[in-house]
Amino acid sequence: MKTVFKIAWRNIWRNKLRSAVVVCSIFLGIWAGIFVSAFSFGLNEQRKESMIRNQISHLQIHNSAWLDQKEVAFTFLATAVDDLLNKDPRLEAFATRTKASGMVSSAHYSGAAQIIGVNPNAEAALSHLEEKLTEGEYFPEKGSNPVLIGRALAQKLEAKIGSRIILNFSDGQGNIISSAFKVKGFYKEVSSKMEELNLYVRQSDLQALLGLEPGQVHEIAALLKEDADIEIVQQELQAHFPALAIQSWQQLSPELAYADDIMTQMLYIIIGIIMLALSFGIINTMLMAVLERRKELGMLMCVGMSRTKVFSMIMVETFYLALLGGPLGILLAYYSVWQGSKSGLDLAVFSDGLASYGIDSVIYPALPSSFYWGTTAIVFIMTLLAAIYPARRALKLNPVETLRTI
Amino acid sequence: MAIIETKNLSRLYQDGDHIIRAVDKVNLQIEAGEFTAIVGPSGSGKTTLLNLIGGLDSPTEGEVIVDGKAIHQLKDNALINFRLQHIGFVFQAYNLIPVLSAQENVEFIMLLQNASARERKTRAQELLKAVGLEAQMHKRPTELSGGQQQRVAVARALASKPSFVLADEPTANLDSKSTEDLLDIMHKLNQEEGITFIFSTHDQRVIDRASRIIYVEDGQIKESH
Repeated sequence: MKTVFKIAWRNIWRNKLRSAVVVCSIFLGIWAGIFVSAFSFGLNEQRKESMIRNQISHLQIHNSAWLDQKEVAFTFLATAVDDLLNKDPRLEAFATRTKASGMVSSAHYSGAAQIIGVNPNAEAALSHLEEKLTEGEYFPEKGSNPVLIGRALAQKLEAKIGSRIILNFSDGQGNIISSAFKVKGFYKEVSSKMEELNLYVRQSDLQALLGLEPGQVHEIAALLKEDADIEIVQQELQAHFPALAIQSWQQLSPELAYADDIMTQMLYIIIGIIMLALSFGIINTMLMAVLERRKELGMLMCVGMSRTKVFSMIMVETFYLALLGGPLGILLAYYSVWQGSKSGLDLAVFSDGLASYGIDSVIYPALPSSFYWGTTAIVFIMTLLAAIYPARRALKLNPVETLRTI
Repeated sequence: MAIIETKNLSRLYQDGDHIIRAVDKVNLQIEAGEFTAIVGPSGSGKTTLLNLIGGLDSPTEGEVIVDGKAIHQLKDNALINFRLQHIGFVFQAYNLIPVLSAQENVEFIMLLQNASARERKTRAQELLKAVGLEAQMHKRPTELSGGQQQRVAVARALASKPSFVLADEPTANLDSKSTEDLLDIMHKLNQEEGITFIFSTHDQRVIDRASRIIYVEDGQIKESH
């Protein structure tokens, strides 16, 4: 077989330009495929992370009845849960929230609103709400009924820092509450929809208006340090508080979990399609190489080279082309993804569209290392499959016909 | 004892409604050490006869016995292996492997025979020296003249230590000087080492050197002396 490898290696350099074109097409195809995959994967990861960090967290705890109907009355006492979560070293942060659905209005605009009562310090640690402020103060100690609104809502309300807006919502007994709040800050979110919908007020202010006792909350959201702990912590909390609904982010947002699940499969399909297209180029090139060398291949069979060795030689030649183009493409892709993951790809021109899907305009390509191995395997499998047809054509050559004379 | 024997050997081809008898009931015996030329006009069946003797083509009927083995009964891989071990080939168009050097081309046959690296190298160098190419051992075919390439082909044909060498029009593409040089080498190998050569040829210079001439016409042996 050593001879086969040696001749095959030299054969691929007979027509340098043709081999170089095939190597380049494999190399560019793989690079493009992996980079597009990394872009898609990174985009999906960012969307997932954004949703988890800004909206749903890793785990949420609710009164079981809240899941069916988001009524103000369906609260639970956070104290016991708080105590347990405070002691758990696996948690990065958690915060309690009191919520009410209602309307927000100013002299210029009126619209639906999700009013979220938060503990300022806990919320800052959990969702980094304070860092998202673009203007104003984060729940100053002085002054009553402060509210933080998103920039998109501020534009609609034509509100400025210090403006008064009216929030209308129902309390636990079904009474309509109408209360004035003073705008203390504007926050920025990756999702413009969230900026329009969510308003943040002090939890104590909202509890008082809803007629709830301190400690009565609608939601506890928690972030964990490691994704791997989510299921375990969820099960432990559920065991401690069987009456409460403890949900993971996958349960809270099934579409996000589904997108996460199918992403890797989708990326392999992209690579598979690219390699399928490339394999036709390989078949064409190797078929030309076989047909050009009919006489030589016939001679090899005449003088005693077995058909198995002739077949192997064509397979090895194709394998060499993949061996040159494949790793080069994978290495360049790895470098591009690594560079992109540091600097990010700024898609500011599409920022409005991306924001409506909750995605930041700077995309950081990323790929799990297993994908590189998977791609390598696909490249070599597809290349070898592509080599079979030309190699079989070589096998079918009749030595006498190829030589015409011995 | 004959190293090649054919019995009622025929090879027929279908050409539309016609049947062409390229080789027609040929009975032939070739002894070891012969320097035989198969001659005849174009289309007379010389090459087909050579192909049948070399196991490159299958007879329509009859037998080909080489070294006591009925090669017409051998299956594909067994036949390839038989050719490798027993027959050397020299082609009209040289047909060297262009990506290998002269020495590597000669070694190639021995590689297929699984000879050791030392044996391959020694024998290849000896053979190339015998054909007067010791200075061109490391050159590739494209760097050699036609005559030199054909001499490499002769060295390659002898590399496997075959029972005989079949050469189809070996001088057809060579000039006079190269033809004379090549014939000198092959004749010397025949005379000094007893190697059997069987040529198909039109070349009078080859015919003049042959120890035996077989005249073929219409697929039949018309004369043998």
